[in-house]
Amino acid sequence: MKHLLDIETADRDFLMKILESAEVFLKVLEQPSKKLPTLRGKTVLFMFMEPSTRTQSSFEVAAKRLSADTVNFSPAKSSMRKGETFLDTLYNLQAMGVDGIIVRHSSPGAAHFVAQHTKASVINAGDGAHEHPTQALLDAFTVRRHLGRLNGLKVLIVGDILHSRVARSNLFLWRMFGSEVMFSGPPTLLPGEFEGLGARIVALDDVLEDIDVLMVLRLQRERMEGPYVPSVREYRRYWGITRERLRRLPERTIILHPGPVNWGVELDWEANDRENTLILEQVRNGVAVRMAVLYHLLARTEEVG
Amino acid sequence: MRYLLKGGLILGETPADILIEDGRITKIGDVRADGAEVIDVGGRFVLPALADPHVHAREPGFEHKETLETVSWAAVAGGYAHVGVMPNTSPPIDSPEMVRALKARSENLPVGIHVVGAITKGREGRELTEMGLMREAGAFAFSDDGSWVSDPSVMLNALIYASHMGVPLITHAEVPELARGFANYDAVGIKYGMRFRSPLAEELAIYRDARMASLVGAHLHVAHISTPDGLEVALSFRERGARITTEITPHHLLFSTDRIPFYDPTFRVNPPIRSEADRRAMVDAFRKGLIDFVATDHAPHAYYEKEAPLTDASPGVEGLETAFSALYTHLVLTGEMSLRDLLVRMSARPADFLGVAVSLSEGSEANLFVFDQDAEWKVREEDLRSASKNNPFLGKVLRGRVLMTFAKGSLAYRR
Repeated sequence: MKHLLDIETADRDFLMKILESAEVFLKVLEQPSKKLPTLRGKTVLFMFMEPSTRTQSSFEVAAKRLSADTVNFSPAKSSMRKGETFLDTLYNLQAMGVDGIIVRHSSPGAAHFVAQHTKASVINAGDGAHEHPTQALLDAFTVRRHLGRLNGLKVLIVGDILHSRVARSNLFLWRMFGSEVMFSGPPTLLPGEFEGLGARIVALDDVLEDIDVLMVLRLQRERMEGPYVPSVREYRRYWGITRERLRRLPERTIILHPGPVNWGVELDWEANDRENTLILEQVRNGVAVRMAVLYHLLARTEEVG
Repeated sequence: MRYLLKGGLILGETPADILIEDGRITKIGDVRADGAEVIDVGGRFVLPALADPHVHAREPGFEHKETLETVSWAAVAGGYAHVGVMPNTSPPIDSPEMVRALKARSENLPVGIHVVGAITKGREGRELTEMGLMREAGAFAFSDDGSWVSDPSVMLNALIYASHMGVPLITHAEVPELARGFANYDAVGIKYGMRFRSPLAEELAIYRDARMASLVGAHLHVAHISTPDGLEVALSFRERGARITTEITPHHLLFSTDRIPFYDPTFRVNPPIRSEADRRAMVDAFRKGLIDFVATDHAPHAYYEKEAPLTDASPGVEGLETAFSALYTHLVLTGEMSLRDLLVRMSARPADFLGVAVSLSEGSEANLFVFDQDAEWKVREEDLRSASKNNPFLGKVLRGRVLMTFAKGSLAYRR
């Protein structure tokens, strides 16, 4: 595999290899000296066209732990402000000689687009509402460390499914590995077409007692009030993981959240009292998984320019 | 000049020679050269030239995309003799002076250029343009194409006024609030996290405009119709006696969301490429004659405007140079419809809408093209004569190719 653009069309064995290597990298991260020389001499370009704190930091830490050089492209300071097109920007940055490009963009397909126009390896760090493959991989990695498997699980994803790249990547991943995926959320944000993609649309309160993984999605601030959802309190009442709902979850159920959390909206603070709420562990594992992705895509390729 | 087209198949059926003298067809049958320049078209189809009332020539204001001149080259290379140009230029074509200027610029071009005027000043959807004076200056129809006239009171008055002036209004039927994105609302779009332009946007817009047109007796023409539900609404008003006509583009007839790479900016177009089920239904309606004619909505864009992530790519595809070959390949050769039926929808009917007559008969102005029906060709950028290259058939193999075109009586194109 040259790129990691989406989970839907990714090779299953390749994803498995990433998850296995991530175990090794996680051990490295636990050591006092956390740096490996693996990607010394390689240059990784960050093209983050939308704001992101945790994904970008996570990739940066991962690249640096592997001794790669990193170049940051931020549109606010760039000549795209002066009217340079995205493609020109890409060609210019590429002309400086990069081996990997990590792309975050508000357009679905943006990473595929970049991959078509570059010789470098491209990693999709989120393309609009389409996919966020490394997020799904780190979710799977986290679950596997605790439950020991990826198949035969019941995964429930709750929230704004329509606009969520995390939901789509997770749907494809869990289906690929033989687990069941259930979606729950406001009907305006959960069109029935998702059933055709292999998800089961469920009422939250019908399934809480029997799920292995509960993934809570962030309700974007701009969607908290208005055409999709009338108010925060109504959202919380019907789709929030409230303290009452937390009590109904089996102990084994793992709670995940791609972050950042709106506490008291989609998830109540009491979630932190549970042993199997693994939101911070997800962040830690994210670095290991991204190291594994960078390693498999970049370590063995020859320099490209 | 005298030309003798020797040995062609008239309308793809009847072997006959055609003599063209001083821009007119003077004889069809068994003709001797008698000093005319003989062009051997043995066994090739000789067809009436095509007409397309929906073309973006981009002049004035966007000459880096296309000009009246380059669009003429593209048109004749596709077998067209007449095109209607849309007013979403900069400044827009919203005054009689602008119409006259365009007509003057077009006089010596190889194709007939027919001007669509804007419905509202500046295409802003508020004040009516001088439709009477613009019609006198040569505008044949009016449209704010690219946008829908959102304010129903403005559209109602525009329809009443246009009806009085005896000109059709062309509606770009998409309710903007339901068409903020760039892709069709369907299972494929949901899967890829697209932002939508809902089929409902088209259906509701057609309903409002058709209802108003039927109320006031105006001629409403629905541009680039793309959904079976929208078409059903248009037809239901037509059945009740309203004057509603429709056009469809080659790309809406031939592409569907599950057949194109989801990230390919080429296919970002308004209205969007629809689902395969919708496409099938539209082909069926087109075949049965329920859609009046083909218009390409030829929409040139420079490479750097088009080649971008979907959110940034300019909407539109080119069509003039490939429309006939593409529809011949995918609708005639597949047995969906006859060559004659396709010609009615690409020549006679759209020409009638433009107010011109195109016919292969003795005494008519020479507006015809020779089509090498067996040629197989791969569409390549270097073959396109348009100033832009955003053609959705690039890299695809088509059957049948335009060999030469007579337009406005002259030999306007020869491969």
